[in-house]
Amino acid sequence: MGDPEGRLLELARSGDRSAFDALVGPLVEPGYRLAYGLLQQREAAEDALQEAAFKAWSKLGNVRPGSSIRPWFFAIVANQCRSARRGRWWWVVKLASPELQGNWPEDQIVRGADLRRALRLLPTERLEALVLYYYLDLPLEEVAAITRVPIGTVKSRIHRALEQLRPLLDAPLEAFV
Amino acid sequence: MIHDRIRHRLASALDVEPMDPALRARIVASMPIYRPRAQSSAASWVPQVIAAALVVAVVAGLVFIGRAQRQQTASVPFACRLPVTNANRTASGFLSLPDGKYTPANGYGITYDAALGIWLPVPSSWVAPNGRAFAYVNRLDATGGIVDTAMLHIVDAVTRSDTVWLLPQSGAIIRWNVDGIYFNAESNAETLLINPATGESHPIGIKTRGQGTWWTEVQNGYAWGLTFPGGYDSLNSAPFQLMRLDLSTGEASPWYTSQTELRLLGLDLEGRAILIEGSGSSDGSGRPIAVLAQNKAVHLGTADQIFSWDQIAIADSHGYWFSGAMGGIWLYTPAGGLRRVKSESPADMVAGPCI
Repeated sequence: MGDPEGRLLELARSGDRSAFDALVGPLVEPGYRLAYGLLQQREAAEDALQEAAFKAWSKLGNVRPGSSIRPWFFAIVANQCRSARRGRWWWVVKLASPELQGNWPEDQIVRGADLRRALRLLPTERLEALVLYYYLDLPLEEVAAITRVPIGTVKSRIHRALEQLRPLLDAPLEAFV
Repeated sequence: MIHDRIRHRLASALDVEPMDPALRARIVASMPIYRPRAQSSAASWVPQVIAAALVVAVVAGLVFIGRAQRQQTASVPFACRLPVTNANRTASGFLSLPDGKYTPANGYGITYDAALGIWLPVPSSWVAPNGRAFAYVNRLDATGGIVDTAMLHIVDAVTRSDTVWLLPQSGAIIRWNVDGIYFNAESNAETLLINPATGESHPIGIKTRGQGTWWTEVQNGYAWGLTFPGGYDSLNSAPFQLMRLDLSTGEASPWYTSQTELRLLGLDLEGRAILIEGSGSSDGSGRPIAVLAQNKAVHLGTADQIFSWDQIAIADSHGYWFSGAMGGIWLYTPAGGLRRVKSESPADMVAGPCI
C-alpha cells in the first residue's frame, strides 16, 4: 500500500487525526448527502454521519489492502442509516412527512414534497441504490460494493424504485433496465 | 438525458437542507483521541495518545439488530466487576454483576488495567501483558506531511515516564505480546517484532499484506488474518477465509472458509478466533462464531441473535463479552449460550476482563 491513500491510512490507523481528516474529511459532504437522502432529516443525517465517522475511525484496521476508502466509508454510513431507519423515530418521520418551506416555486415545492414522501416509502435497499446511483452519481460497481450485492441486483433495485416513483419522476420505465 | 432528468429531480427534492459547513471540522474534532493531561514531571509524554484507534481490541459499538435487540436480559451465575466505558469520553466505570449496578470510575480510559487498578488511554492490545506499561505510535513529524518513520512510545503505566524509540518505518501496533510488540510496518508491508526495552526491531518474515491476507491478530505463535480474494471492491467474491500463520514455520493455512463475509473480532484465551460470519444480506450483519479448530466453527448464539459488524469482543475466564454503543452488553458461555446481561450502566463498551 504505497499509494498516498494507503500511507494516510496507516497514519490514521496509528491515531493521526490529521491523516483521518485527509482521508475521510472529503467524504463528509457526500456522506451527508447519502445520509440525508436516506433519512431526510438534517439532525438524523448528521447524527448518522457522526456515528459512521466514529465507527470508521475505530475500524480503520479493517480496511483492506489496496482498497479505496470511499466505498468502505459509504457502506458504514449506509449501515448506520439502516439502523436509524429501524428505529422508532423513523416511523414518525416517515408517517408525519414534515416538509420544509423556502424560496422555491410553488409547484417545485409540491413536487419535491411529493417525491420526498414517496422516497420515504421506498424499501431501504431500493432507496439506497437510487440515492447512491442518481443522487451521489456513483458508478454501479461502487454502488454494488457499498450495498454488498451484485451489480445485477443493484440494477434491479433501481429499476423497481423507478417503477414505484415513475409518476413523480416523469421518467419512462425504460430509463433503467 | 433521462438519467439526467432523474438526477435533477432527485437533487431538487433532496437538496433542501444542505450540510452545515462546520460539520466536517466538528466530526473530525470529535474523534475520541485521548489527550492525556501534561505531567508535572519530566515525563512529558506527548498528548497524542490515541485511544480511539480502538483498532483491534476496542472495535466500536455493538449494534444488535432486529430481534436480538429486544431480547430480555439474563443474570449471570457468578459475581464480578466488569470494566465498561463509552466512546464519548463521558463515562468509565464498573458494572457489578449479576445485579447490573454501575459504579463510575474516577477518570476516563479505554482499557482498565486490572493489574494496577488504573484506566489507560489506549486499546488493550497496546498494553503490556503484565499491565505495567503501554505503547503508542506517533509519526515523527507531528506538524504535517507524511513521513516514513515514527516514534514508538513506551509509557510506564504508573509513573507515566515515557521512553521513545525511533522506528525505521511508520505503521501500526498489532499487539503487545510477551515476546514483544508486533507492528505492521507501512512502507514495505512487513510485520516487525519490536523489543520494547531496547527499541530494536526485526522483521519476522511475514508480509503484513502478503497473499491478500491482512494479519490483524498475533497470539501464541500464530498470526491471524482474513483473505479478500476479490479485493475490497469485489465484496461478493467468495470464499472468504480466515488464515492462520505459523510464525515459526511461516506456513499459512486456511483455517475457516465461508461463502459470506467474515470479520475477525479477536481471539479467546486459547487463541481461538471469534468472528462475525455474514448473514448474506446486505445489512452488514451476521452471526458470531468461534473457530474451535481448523474448519470447525460453532455459532455462539441462536439464529435470531444477529450482530452488526461493529462491535467489541473480549474474552476472559467467564466467556466472551460482546458490547457496543447500542446493544448493551452480552455474554457467551458454552453452558448459558449468548445472553444480554443486566446493566444499568451508561457506558456499554467492555473495557477489560470481568474481575
